[in-house]
Amino acid sequence: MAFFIGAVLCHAALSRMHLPPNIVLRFLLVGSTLGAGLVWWLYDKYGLAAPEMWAGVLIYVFCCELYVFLFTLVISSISANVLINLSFHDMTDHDMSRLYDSRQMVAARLDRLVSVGLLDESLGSLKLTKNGLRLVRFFNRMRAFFRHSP
Amino acid sequence: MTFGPISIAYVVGLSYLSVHFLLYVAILRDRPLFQTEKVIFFYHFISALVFTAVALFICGILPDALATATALGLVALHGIYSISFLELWSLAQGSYSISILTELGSKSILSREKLIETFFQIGNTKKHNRTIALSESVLIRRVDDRWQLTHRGRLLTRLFTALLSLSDIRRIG
Repeated sequence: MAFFIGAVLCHAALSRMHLPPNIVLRFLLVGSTLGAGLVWWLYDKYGLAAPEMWAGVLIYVFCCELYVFLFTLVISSISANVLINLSFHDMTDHDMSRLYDSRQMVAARLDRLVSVGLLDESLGSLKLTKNGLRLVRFFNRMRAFFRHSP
Repeated sequence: MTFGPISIAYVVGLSYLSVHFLLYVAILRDRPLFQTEKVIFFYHFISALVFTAVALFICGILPDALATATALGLVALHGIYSISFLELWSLAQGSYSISILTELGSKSILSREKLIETFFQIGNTKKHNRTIALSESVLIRRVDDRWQLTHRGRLLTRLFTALLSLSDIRRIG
């Protein structure tokens, strides 16, 4: 648990430095570095075959995955945005409509997709990067696997 | 190489997760019921509850450090499997960003204005659905003509705010 808290705190510190990789990659960088340290420490203390070693690794991975899941959910969720705004003041239907302005929502998504390198924007035109194309292919396969309608 | 009770526990746990996954692949994914968020969530949630209860029960009858470590490891393994599965399932089902990328995948190049116009309507539909979903989940309630947070909504918002300030994120939604 101390390694996980360490990873979260290092991530918090890195996030305030405004370094180039996006927020998820930054956490993966910090999380895997501290994770490697945890594996080394557990191996040294218990040995490879010990249940404590595997339990420690699995709990660490689970905590990291849950943390990434939660903060990506909060960043991208429109509902989370509404809840946070409601924590400052009550809203009428009209306020909600303004907050949900779909044009702004789409524009914000496009900005984020460009900043993480999935879209390439030049002269007002957008196209997929290689990584974007790879991701589309992956999710097309996932959609077929889960039998979601196209 | 000998197999002790700990190894057997891991084999049983992994076999259970494999059966859970294969049951979905072989039968359940073709059922219309399993196309809904609620059902797929409960398929994993109930399984995780039962799995955790059995692990804790075994911890209770074998109260030693090895049994506890094994039980916690197995519960974490179920957590990793379920979160990965549910996240992939929901992203593949209808993530806004993935839909934008898929649209660009089929059209090659599009202007920013054209894309915003295409997805504007989807946003409008989602807008209405989101408010209903938040209200049905008892996270917000309507008092006279104003929407406000419920107690549950306020607790969840505190968690969200803590996560945002931890990661120094200022723009969301």
